[in-house]
Amino acid sequence: MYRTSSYLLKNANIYKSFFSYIVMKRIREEIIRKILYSLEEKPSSIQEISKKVGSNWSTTNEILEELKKDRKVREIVSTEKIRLFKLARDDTYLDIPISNKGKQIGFYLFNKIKKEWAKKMGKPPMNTDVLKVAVDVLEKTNLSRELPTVWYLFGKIPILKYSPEVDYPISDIEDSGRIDKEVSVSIKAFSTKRTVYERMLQQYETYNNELYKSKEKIRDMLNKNLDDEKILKELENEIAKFYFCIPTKDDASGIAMIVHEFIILLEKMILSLKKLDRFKKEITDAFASIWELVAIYMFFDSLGSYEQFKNREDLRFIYFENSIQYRISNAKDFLSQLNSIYLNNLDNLPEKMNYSKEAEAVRNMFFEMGIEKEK
Amino acid sequence: MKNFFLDQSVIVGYASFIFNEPETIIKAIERFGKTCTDFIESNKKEQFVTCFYIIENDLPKFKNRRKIALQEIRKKLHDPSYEIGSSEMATKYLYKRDINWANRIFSLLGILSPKQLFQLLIKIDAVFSIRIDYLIGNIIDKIVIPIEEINKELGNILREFIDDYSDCNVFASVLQYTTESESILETKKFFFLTLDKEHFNENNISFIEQEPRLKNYKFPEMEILI
Repeated sequence: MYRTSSYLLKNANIYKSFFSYIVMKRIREEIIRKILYSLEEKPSSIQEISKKVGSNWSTTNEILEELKKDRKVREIVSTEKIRLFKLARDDTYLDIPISNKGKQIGFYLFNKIKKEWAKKMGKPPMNTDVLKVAVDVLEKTNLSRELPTVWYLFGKIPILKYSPEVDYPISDIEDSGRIDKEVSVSIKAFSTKRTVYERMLQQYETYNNELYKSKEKIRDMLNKNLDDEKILKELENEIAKFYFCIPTKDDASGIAMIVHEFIILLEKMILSLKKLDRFKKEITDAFASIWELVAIYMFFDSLGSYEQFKNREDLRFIYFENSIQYRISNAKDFLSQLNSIYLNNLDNLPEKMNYSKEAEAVRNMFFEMGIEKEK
Repeated sequence: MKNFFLDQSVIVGYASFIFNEPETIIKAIERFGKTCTDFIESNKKEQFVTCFYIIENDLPKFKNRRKIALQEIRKKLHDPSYEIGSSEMATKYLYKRDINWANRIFSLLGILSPKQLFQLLIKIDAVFSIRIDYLIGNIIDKIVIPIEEINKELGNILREFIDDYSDCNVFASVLQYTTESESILETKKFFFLTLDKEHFNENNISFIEQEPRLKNYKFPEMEILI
């Protein structure tokens, strides 16, 4: 009798603990769901999140740490005073949020392009082909309002990532007829170009993007013989053009200043060292780091033109600032390395510039600033 | 061997001599440049000195202002309705005279296309900058008095005579160097080279030299190149 009661009591305790474990687990899952939901709206601090989800600070903090480990959230600001978290979205670039409608359009489009391309070209498309056709279609059908397209490293792309392994689910969407038609037209247009590279240039031409065209010309020239005077002359003209095309908005000024440093440094190397082939790798690396910086700004700038992202300051702070700062520091490292090479090899002054009335006029005004004193 | 201390005006003057042009068309600005260049070239066997305050403070600040001013010109070239000097960075770092300078450069659009103007600005800036780099790396033998070692008390006394803060720090560096390295004045001549007649003329410096609080400092010979 005694043993039986004890046995029952023991089992009752087990059931009780199990039950409370289940309840606790459910409560915790509910908090997790609420936390993730609250971050859908905007990045928040631990305190803001705990208020929104009705949980205390330490539980919220503990769960956020777990979610961070599972890569479901990212900590974007981490100071003594404040820690800010944002939702990690693996399906878009830089965790940029998109509407469900935008996602459905993207899935439909990717699916359609993949099939159509394989049918027409007899092989599956490259990632970049899918993205370029998708951009074309989104722009022509005006659906980029739902699924924004942005300029990035190799041209214009939708903010939704494409992966060839994924079997994209298709749901009924409005305008599917127009999308299908434009997909065919766009694939036909792109198929006239043989290589991915040519198709990339075609996109730059289509959107008449002088900055991207210039970037590609510079990359092309950097592959040539940099001891050749003619190539260096062309490079000199092209880097000036590239610099001229850098965006001029106030929030681009920090980036433009770094581009300025690179352009002047390269111009100095061309004018004073004359033969640059032996420094090709360092110059190419520095230019690549500059381009990564410019491209992330172009992403931000083009995204900021959409109504849903019109608050540029917030957009930059939440989704871009960390990447921009990282790339600035990276570009500075490459520039510093290139500058050391230039200084270590500066053994002669460049030849004097050829005189012209126009150049003299610029020079005369240019040096007025130098003659005046610093205050 | 003589010792020549190069003031910022001489460094900038040397850097501004960029054209290969006949003597007959040499204009005022080119004259500054030619005078500084000729002087430095013909005294290459002597010792050239400058101070950290010029190299690490004055020149970088000057280059930075010019960089920002060039950004302003670029903005205006993109958008003619843009008002030069209205950007956040320009408001923060440029003086009114820098903004006037940028506006005057922009007015050259009458004789040049935007592309030509921009290319020339880059080229002139690069040549100018190479000449400064070359002067510092290949001609100047010594850079003296780290900024943090500039005697503040000395700087404050000089401020009573010279109204330009930067000039005070430069001249304080010179006085500290000549005084700390007495041998220079005993065995060699030490010259302060400048184009700045306004602040560094001989009368002005002789007057400062009489200041009792500066009696322990050794003053350089003043040499105004223009």
